[in-house]
Amino acid sequence: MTDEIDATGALEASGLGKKYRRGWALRDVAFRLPAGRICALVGPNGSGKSTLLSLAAGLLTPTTGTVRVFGRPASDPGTRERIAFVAQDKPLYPRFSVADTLRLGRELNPRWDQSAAERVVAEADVPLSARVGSLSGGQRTCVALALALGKRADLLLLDEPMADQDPLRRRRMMGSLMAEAAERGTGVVISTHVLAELDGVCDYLLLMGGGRIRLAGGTDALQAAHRLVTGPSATGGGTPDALARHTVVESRTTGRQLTALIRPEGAPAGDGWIVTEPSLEDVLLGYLRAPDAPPMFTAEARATVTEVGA
Amino acid sequence: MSSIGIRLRAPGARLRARGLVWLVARQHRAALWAGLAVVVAIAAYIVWQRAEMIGYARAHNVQGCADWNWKALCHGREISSEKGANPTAEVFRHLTDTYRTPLLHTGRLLIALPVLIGVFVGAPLFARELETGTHQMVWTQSVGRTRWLIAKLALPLVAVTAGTSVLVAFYTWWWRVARIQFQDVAWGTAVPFDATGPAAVALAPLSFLIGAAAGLLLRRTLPAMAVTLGATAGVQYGLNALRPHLLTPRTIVDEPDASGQYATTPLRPLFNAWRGIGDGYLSRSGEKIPLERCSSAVGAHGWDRCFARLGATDRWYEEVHPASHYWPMQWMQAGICLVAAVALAALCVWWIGRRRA
Repeated sequence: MTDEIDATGALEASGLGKKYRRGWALRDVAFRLPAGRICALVGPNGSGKSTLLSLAAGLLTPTTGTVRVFGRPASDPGTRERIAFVAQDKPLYPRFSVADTLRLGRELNPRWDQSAAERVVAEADVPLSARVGSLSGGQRTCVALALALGKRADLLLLDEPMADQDPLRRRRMMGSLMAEAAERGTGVVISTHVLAELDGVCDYLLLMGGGRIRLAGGTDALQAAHRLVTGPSATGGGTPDALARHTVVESRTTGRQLTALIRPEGAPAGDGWIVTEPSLEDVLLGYLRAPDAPPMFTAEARATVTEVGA
Repeated sequence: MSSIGIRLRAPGARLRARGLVWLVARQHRAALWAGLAVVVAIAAYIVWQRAEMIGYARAHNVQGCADWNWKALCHGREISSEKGANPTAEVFRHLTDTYRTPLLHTGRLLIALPVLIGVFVGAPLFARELETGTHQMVWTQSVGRTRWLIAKLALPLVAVTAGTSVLVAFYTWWWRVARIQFQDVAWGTAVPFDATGPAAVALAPLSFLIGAAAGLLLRRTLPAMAVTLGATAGVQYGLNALRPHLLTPRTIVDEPDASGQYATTPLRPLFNAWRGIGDGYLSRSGEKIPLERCSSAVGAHGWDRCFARLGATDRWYEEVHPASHYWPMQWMQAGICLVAAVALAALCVWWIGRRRA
């Protein structure tokens, strides 16, 4: 009951686990997302992204541990106003018109911003009088996003918001989303398995795999913590001696050449090795290719709240 | 706290739905108009049929005539089967043939109404949201899910209860002028009992809540509808089985006269009574021997022997619920239904709160 509450943490999980009838979807998840960051939640299908977002949105009850939103449990009624959630299949009432759907937002949210919501809908060329059921998947997503943005929440939780958008609309949607977020300092968590869609947009990353967090932290810090090295492969296969003291996340051999993603300890490699800073995509791909690579959390991503007892 | 409830807008004093009330009203807009159309149509039909029936009876001077105790009685006289007599049996038969069926069919429609309400209004209420995931959208707005649940229950509850009340009032109004003619229709059977009075009204909220609770617990529309169909039909069946036992029936005893005939003059207590609760012979000590005791006896002799063995006299008894039992029984059944409805509503509120703990 005497937990240190870090008021700046938009999202904070410790010991978080969720078990469904078919097994654990999430296990021992602990991380911290500072407020006002644009966070990409990346991972293969079934890695627990949707479960994590639903827990953060207060829609699911954790089996173990806690998830806190701005320092309060996600199930706390007070957090409801501060978060907005767009579920993966964008559930909306099909018989409502777009205008009705926005009115729903206005009627149920004290902080509602009608013009912000209408702007999103207008940008996507969705007429206000259209029935939601008659819209395309992409248009429906826009309406769901408008509903989330109009809520004027402090944290937006978006589960695969761009999956069914064409590239042009995806870019426009991201643009307006980021503009709104920047203007108000809103934090955003976007889950995706399309890395490219978030390149250059996000400044924070959560990589999930098998129900656990594998990478967590600011994108700059994560990139800086890794190196892409290319050099001669070891004769008998395996890890060349030059890389032995580093943490090798993943390595591939092409002919006599070996390319590896490493977390360098001290000076990376040595003579004959080409060392470059990887792009964010290089880092992600490295971890995705190597499911057993040791997880990494940057300092700001480590959970500061430690639960006493179960 | 203005996101639930209705705000009175000054100075026009116009009611405008706000918050959850608006949402629930908007969701049920189509159903509301459809329900209103059904109510108006059935009410209009009742008004028309009732007027026709009364008109015919008045024109042929058979108002208040009863087909009772194997005889058609009119204003204290037996109806003559002769042609040209006034009123004739012909007229009376026409009255029965033409208006009995609409009266009973309309009653059957009204007792089917709670089932339809449960299946088509109650069951999808939460099941459809949970099935299509729209509950995730609503639950992540700024309104708590318990308040959402209460609003979702309250508005349709008021609407179906109001609609049913109107229809039941019209039907009761029709039945009251028709019942004297159809003495063979026991008032305690499903039609008219479950289609008239407070008992009929109370079936609507109960059936609606059975459907809503089934949908909330099962989370699937079709299974919820199936369960609701079974449960609401079962409730009506159970209430019908329970009804004769709600009050102690009155026992009427009839003795044969010197010629061995049982009295056939109208017995006041049997008029308008709900007959068929039980009958049989009395023993010398006044004990009741129901007819069922000898139901397996074969032939008139077997029958007589069976009763003789049981010690029966020729004193005949019949158990009936007199007309004065109608209102107490109506209120008792309404009370049972309302208590069950409140319990189901509490279950729904508890269930939604538990899921968030």
